[in-house]
Amino acid sequence: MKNTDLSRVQRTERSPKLRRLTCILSLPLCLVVLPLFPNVDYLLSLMIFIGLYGIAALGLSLLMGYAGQISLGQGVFYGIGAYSVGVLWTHFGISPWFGIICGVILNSSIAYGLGKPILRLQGHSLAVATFALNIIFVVLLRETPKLTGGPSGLGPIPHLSVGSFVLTSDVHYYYLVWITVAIFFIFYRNLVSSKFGRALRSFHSFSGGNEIASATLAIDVAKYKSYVFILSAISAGVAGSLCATYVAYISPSLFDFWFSLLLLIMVMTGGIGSLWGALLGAGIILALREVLTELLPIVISGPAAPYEVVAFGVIFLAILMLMPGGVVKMLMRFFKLGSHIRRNDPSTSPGSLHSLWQAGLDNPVEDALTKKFLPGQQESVSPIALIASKVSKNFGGLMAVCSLSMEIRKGEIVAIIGPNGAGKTTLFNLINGVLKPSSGEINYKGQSTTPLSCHEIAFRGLARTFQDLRIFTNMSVIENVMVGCHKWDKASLFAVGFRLPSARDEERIVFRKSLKKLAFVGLESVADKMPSSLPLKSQKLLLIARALALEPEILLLDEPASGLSPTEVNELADMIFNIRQLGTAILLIEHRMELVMKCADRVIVLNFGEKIVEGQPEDIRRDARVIEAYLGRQTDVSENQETS
Amino acid sequence: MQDNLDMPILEMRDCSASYGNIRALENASLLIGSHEVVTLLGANGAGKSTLLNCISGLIPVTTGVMLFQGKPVLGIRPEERVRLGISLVPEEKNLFLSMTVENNILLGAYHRRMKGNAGILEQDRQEMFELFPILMQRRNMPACKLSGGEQQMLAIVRGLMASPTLLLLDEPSLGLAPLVADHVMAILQKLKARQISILLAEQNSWLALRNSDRGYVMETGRIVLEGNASTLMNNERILDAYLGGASKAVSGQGHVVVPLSEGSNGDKVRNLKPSPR
Repeated sequence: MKNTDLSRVQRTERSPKLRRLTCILSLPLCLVVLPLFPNVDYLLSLMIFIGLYGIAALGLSLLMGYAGQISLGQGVFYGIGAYSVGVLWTHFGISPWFGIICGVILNSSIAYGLGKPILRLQGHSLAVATFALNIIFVVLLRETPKLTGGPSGLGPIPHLSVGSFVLTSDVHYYYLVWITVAIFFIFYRNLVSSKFGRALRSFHSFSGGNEIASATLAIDVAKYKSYVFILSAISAGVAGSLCATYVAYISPSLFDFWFSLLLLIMVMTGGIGSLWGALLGAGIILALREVLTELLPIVISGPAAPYEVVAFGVIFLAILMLMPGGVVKMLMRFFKLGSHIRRNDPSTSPGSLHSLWQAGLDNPVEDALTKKFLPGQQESVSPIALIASKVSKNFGGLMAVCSLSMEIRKGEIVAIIGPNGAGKTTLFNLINGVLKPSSGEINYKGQSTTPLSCHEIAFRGLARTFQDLRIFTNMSVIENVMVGCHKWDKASLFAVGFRLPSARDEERIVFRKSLKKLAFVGLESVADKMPSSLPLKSQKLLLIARALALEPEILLLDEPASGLSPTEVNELADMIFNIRQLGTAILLIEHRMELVMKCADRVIVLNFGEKIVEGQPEDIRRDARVIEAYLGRQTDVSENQETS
Repeated sequence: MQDNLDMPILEMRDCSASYGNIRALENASLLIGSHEVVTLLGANGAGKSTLLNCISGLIPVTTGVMLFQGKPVLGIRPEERVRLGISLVPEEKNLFLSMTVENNILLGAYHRRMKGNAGILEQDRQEMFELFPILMQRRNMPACKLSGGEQQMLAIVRGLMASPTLLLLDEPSLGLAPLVADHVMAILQKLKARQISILLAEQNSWLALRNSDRGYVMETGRIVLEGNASTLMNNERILDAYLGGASKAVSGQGHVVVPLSEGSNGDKVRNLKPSPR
């Protein structure tokens, strides 16, 4: 039945797909044949600049749209690319090709060095830092005339050459630049529709991601942000280098703050987070600038330069207000094309889902491949999975957790109950590394977790869910689970960007693995839906599936039953037993006593951050202290019991 | 109690609402008498929150009539309805997370800020701290630092500070310890004694019905059953069929037919489900 459902979806989706394909293919075709037309010299040189700006804008779009960071200093990287070529040639006579490579290396190291401390911070620190960097950069260029030629700049820089063939004409450069654009475009597109893109979206908080949830799925958020920043720097640098060899003369004013701002405007005009948008934005803004320089002197007598800026500003404001989300979003709506993020993703396209269903879930070859990624799980024989010894945490004056000791054995279900504000969630945050204990130590698999960060602890097999869900609403159900599989990913950035077979195989394995996790919780039939369309219970199950993708040894469930009906709570209890069958220990925070009484092997009661009682569920229920601090009238529990 | 219904504080007649193309509420009719506690039951996604949001004005009602204290309120903006005395405690809490607990409480009484009122507000605030002493301890902490359950208490308190005549509570027991959940229910009884009417949506049906006068059961956007709380509570099988059955309906198994004869003492239970066409 599922198969027929899916094939129906596939049929109905085909015609927009075709339309979309023609749209996409017609554009490169136009670009290829453009130089064949007569009298296009002016257009060609404009197109070369659009391509150069486009390369830099692609990088910035990736940074803004996927890592949620703004850079106001792309001019620096553009400039470094240009000056690497210029300086190496004029002073040492080194080939511009080598200059380009030097620029890439220099830019990557600067982006890495700058990004490492700054990208750990939240907010727009990067925008401020790169802005400052841009100002410093231009001053440095002006004040070091011996190296950079000072304000008058460097030149002439020779055109690029391959062997004895020199790229002299605009047509040569046109093709060179746009082939480079195509390479960057394809690389970035593959990246954003792969595990890399999923990781980025998972922590992009403006669009529905969550940094902490992302980290609990073993994703090193800071590392990924830094990757994207480096990529954006390389983009700008390569564009700068190409520009230097094309224009032959470079000076500091080319790379000032205005350049960086223009790039930002291009990205915003096209649409943040859309790679097509970056190119389109570059085209629109540069074309607009040309039109204005031609048009304004006709309309206004006298010097037109100041009005140019004003007109430019007005048009930009109009674009922002009339087309929120950029030109691409508007065009998509106009031509009724889906957003490119959803449709390009192989995992969300119904076709691939369909074929995978037909291939069947249990393919022995794939299973063997999957196992290859598994680290040796049976390494430790100790029956104890986690020990917390005298752990405390205080926030200012408030003792949230106070000298708490506990242990969890393998395959055990332990419930933590206690009044609101007793420190239950804080305890979870301490265990999985979102918070660090003020004193005491948590030992997981015989190793202290204190020096480990959240994603490292998750990598070692400790998964959790959240009270407030934190589902990634910007991706489909199966993609949510695929983010959880991140820990098993081995393919390099390069392999992913160019869709090498290794990356494709891995993507397939991850997809299948995720589908299995979904099947485990019974959500496989909604794999390609968006999670916000699911009822609460399914969302909660999705959270569990996502956490299970880590194949955890310990699973922390934070109020999984809240908001569920009594019947649903019963179903959840069965699910929890099923998870235990996998050999996973479960630590459970819950107020629904019917679930606690049914599932827990052992109950720990917290109050004011301290453990007041620990024992069997039956004993806990009768304990006077627990009744007084937490349960209230004992009839409650028995009554709930009867109904469940 | 039935006398209260002759002069209802809120009357909804055939109200419908939709999100885009999805009909979220269909021809819902409901009465809330003065100083009465009414529970809205139903599975997740049955439309309980939508109904509450329609009453508070956050979701526009497309067709139907809604009278509050005898006057039509459908054209009135949500903030104006708060002035009239309709206060909603939303399920998502929507606290002002960066503000302190104290300021969150005070903002609940925003429309009551005027000269000469400071004393009353201060008195109300003290009363709120007495209701939930833990908030007193946390009064200077930003709301984002509170635990989930404490945030729930704060949301309830903020709703109460509007001094409503009709209090709408969306899943008030969500994330609360059993003792506190009982405490909240006890507070509802106190409010009722002060002539405040309460409509609450709850998953925890037993807790809610025990503390209510009447109940409505919703399924896929429609009100399908109403009755006295005690009657509903004694008809476990009816409730189970609706509350449990709705989860089947979500997975596309269609509606559950409830044998009304099962409600032997269900003279007050009316099946409002339209006959299948």
